[in-house]
Amino acid sequence: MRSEYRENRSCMTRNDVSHAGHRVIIGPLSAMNRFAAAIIGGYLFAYGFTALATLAGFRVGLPYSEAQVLAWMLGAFVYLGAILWGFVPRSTMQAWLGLAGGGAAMGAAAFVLSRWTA
Amino acid sequence: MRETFRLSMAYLHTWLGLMLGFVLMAVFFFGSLSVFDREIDRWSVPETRVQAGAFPSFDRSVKPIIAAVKPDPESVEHAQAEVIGALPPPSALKAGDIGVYTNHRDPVLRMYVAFDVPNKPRDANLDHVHVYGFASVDPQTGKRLPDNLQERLQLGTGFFFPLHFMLHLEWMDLGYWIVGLAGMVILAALVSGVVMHRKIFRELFTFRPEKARLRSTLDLHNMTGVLALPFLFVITLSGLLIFAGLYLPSPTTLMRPLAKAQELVEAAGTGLPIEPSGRPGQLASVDAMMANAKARWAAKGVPGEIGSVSVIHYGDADAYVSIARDNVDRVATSETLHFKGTTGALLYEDPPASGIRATEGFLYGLHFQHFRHWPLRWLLFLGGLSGCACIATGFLFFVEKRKKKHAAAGVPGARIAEALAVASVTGMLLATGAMMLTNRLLPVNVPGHAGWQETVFWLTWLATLVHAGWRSRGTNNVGLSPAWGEQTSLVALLAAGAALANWITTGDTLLQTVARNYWPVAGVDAILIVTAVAASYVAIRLRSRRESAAKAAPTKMARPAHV
Repeated sequence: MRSEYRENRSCMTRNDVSHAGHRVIIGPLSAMNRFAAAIIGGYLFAYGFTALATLAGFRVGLPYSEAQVLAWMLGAFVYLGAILWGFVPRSTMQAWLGLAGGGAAMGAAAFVLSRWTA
Repeated sequence: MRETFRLSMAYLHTWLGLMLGFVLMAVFFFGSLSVFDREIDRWSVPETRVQAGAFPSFDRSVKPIIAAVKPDPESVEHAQAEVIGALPPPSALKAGDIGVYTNHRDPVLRMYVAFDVPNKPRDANLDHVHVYGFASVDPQTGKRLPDNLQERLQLGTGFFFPLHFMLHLEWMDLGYWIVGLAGMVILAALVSGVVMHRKIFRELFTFRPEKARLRSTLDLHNMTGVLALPFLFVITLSGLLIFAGLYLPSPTTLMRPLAKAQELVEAAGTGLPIEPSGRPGQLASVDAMMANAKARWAAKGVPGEIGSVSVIHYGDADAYVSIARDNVDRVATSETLHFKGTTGALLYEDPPASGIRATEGFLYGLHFQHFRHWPLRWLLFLGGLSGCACIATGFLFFVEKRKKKHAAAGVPGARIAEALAVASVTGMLLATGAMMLTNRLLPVNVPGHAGWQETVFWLTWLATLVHAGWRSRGTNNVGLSPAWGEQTSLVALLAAGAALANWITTGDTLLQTVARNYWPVAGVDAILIVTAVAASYVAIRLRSRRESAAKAAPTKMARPAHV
C-alpha cells in the first residue's frame, strides 16, 4: 500500500511531493480503516444531519414534508463533504470521532428536541 | 496544508474510483440505455411494435380487468418476509389501491393492483405492506394483453432499467445500497478530481490523441469528466434523491412521533383520506373525472393527455382518484388532480409547487425523463455515455501507470485491475449483446423465456471476466491485455448479429423502419449497427497496434515526464 501511495503521489507535480513528507495512510488495514471512517462515519454524520435539518426547517415554518425534502438535498452535499473531509485529518481516529461523533450528537439532538415541545 | 489536502483528494479519487468504478460503469451504461427503455421494450417484444395510443376508457377497459388481476407470486413472497404471521391465501386478498399509467412513448398501458395485507409489518417504521399484481392493456383495443405476452421480458423497463439502480440484488436491498454508495463516490470523485488538478480550465480544452497513450488517456479522462461534470453531478444527485427515503430515513426513524403527527396535519390540509373508512362505496365514472381533468388542463393551455390514473382505497366509501397528465412539455413532474371516488367531485388540486417542491420536481423529472424533447433525450444519453468514457479511461490510466512497476516487482495488482476493467467495459457490452441476441433467437414458447435471457446475460458477463483474467495471466509485457481486442471483436459480432437477428425474426430492417417512421426500433437497430462499426474499427486498430508493437519490441514505452 505504501508503494501504491507513492505512485499516487507521482501523479502530482514535483512541487506537491516536497510538501508531503509526512503521510498517515500506511498499510492495507489502516487504509481500510480510513475508508470506513469516511464512508460509514460520513454516513452517520449525514444521517444525524438530515434529521436535525428537517427539524430546523420545520421549526422555522416549512411543512414537515418539505423540510424533509430540503434536508435530503442538503444531506447529499453534507455526506459528500463528510467523505472528503474524512481523508483530511492526520489521524483516522480523529476522522471517526468527528464524523460518527458529530452524527450521533446531531441525531440525539433531533431525537430529543422533536419530542420536547411536541 | 493545501498540498496535503490535494494529496488526500488524489488518494481518495484513485482508490474509491477504482473500488466503485466497476459498479458506476454499469450504473451509467444501463442508465444511458434506460433513457430509451420504452424503445428497447418495443425491440425486445415485437408484438408491441405499434404506435403509442391515447389512454383508453377506464370504465369500459380498465375497471373490468381489476378483478381479474391476481397477486404476483414473487410479490407475495416478498410481503410474507416483511410481515408477522402467515398471509391469507392470495385469493382472499382485497385490492386496496389501483394505478394505471402510460406515456407518449409507450403503446402499452401498465397497471398495478396493490392488495391490502391484514398482517402487522415486522418493521415498526413501515406503515403498510402491500402485495402487488400486474397487468398490461393494449390501449388500441382496450383489452388486457394475453398472459404469454405479459410474461415476456421487456429488456428496457424490465431488465436494464432496474439493473441501473439496484443491480438485481434484492437481498436486504443490497443493490440499492451499493448503487447509492457508488453515487456518493462519483460525487466525491468529481470534487476530488477537480481539486487534484490546478489547471482545470486548461485541461478542459486539452486532448492530445497523438501524444503517448498514457497522456492521451488522462486527457480523455479529464475532458469527459470536466465537460460532462455538470451533467454527471446533477444526474447523480437526482438519482440519490429519488431513493433518499431509503438511504436517509432519519427524519421518520429518529423523529417518528413528530413525523406521524405532521403527516396527519398535511393530509388534513388536502382533505384526502389517508385511511379507508371501512364502509363499501361505489366508484363513480372515472371517465367523467378524466374528462373533467382534461377540460381543466385545456383551460390552462397545457397539453392534456392523461399520464396516470390511480384509485386509492378502491371499493371504499372514502376512495379517491388521482389523475396526472403526461407532462410532455416540461422536465419537472406536474401537479395532480384528486377527485372523490363516489361522486367524481374535485376534492383537491395540488397547489403550484413551492421552491423546494419545484426543485424536487425538476430533479425527479430530469431523471425519469417523461418529456417529449428528442434532442434533450439524446443529450442525456450521450451524457451518460461520457460518464462511462470517463470511468473507463480512469481504469485504463490506473492500470497503465502501474503496469511497468508491478511487472518489475512481480506483483499482479495492475493485471487484476485490468482484467476487471476489461470485464466491466467490453464484458458488459458483450453481456448486453448476448442478451439481445438471445431475446431475438430463443423461441418465445420455450419455458422460462425471460429467465433464460437473464441467465445468458449474467453467464456471458462472468465468462468475459474469466476470459480477461485468463488472457492477462502471466503477461509480463507493458502493452494492453489482448483481452481488450478480442472482446471488442466479439462486441462487433454480437451487435451486428442482434440487428441481423431482428431482421430475420421480425422482417424489420433499418431501411424499412426508417421508411415507416417507426423510430423506436429504427433507433435501437441504428445504435447496434453504429456499435458494430465502431467496435470493428477499434478492434482493427488494437490489432495493428499489437502487431507493430511486436515488431518494434523491445523498444521503450514513451512515458510523459510528469505523470
